[in-house]
Amino acid sequence: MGDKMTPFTAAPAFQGVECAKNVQAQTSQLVPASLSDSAPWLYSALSQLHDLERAGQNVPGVGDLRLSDEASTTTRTLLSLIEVEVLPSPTLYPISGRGVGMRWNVGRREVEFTTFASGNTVVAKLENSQLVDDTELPQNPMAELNGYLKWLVSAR
Amino acid sequence: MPDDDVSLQGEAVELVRVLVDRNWIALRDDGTERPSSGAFVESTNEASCFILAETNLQLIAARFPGKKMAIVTAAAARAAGFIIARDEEGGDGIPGHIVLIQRQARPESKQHVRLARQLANMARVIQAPELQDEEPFQ
Repeated sequence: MGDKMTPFTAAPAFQGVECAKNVQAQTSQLVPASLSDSAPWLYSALSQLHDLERAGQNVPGVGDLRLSDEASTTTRTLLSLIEVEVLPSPTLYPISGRGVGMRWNVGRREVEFTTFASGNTVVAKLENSQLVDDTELPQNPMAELNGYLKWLVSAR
Repeated sequence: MPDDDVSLQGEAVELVRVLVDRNWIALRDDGTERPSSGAFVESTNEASCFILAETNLQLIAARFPGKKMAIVTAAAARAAGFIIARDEEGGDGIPGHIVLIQRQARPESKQHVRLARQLANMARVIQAPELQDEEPFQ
């Protein structure tokens, strides 16, 4: 019997299957499997970002709402650098011209990220809808990023 | 670079920005709606709007059903550092299309975002009109 057996992978159903390929991913794109439990805000942010990447369109009369690769990558990088553990879920939205915006609200405080198509990002603190401070994020934005978010949650 | 139409001035000239994303709308402290700064920031520095007096809100409502619109004056746009350039082709068949171009601040700077926020804070939000029984806009 053994001599007449053929490997099951020789069946027609497997003929179209290609060998597994290496997946190129940046560390910032890798997230724990338990993300929805340990950091629901991050799960929500990545989910919204994915939706914007998938659904973005060029809309005549409004603007190009497709996300650029640079804007997407920058947003993922920013999310990966956040050290503030307890945050509400942010709101993500397209910025016309292929950018992306991200906003957190806690009480009357708000932190708003505007990432342009190039990946350049401006972050602003607002309280009662009035600007408190803003900055253009540098190459290594970790300190500024977390400083703004700590200010946000210190309102609790 | 499109030219500034200097005839578009003052409080009487109103400009319409279609708020296609629901997160382009925020609440003021008094509970009224306002556009967020994101509604007027543009990576390419050409934010699409329509001149209220020259456009056709029915066409906008048909193209963007259920969407709200931000109304700002030409005076507010100019005070926030924008020029107003006509761009009929950009309306894709809807008349009165213009683009707001930021000239006071460097594109992608924090001043650029500040001025977009200033303009957004001056805006009022309206609902697009109910569609009349006409042929759908193609």
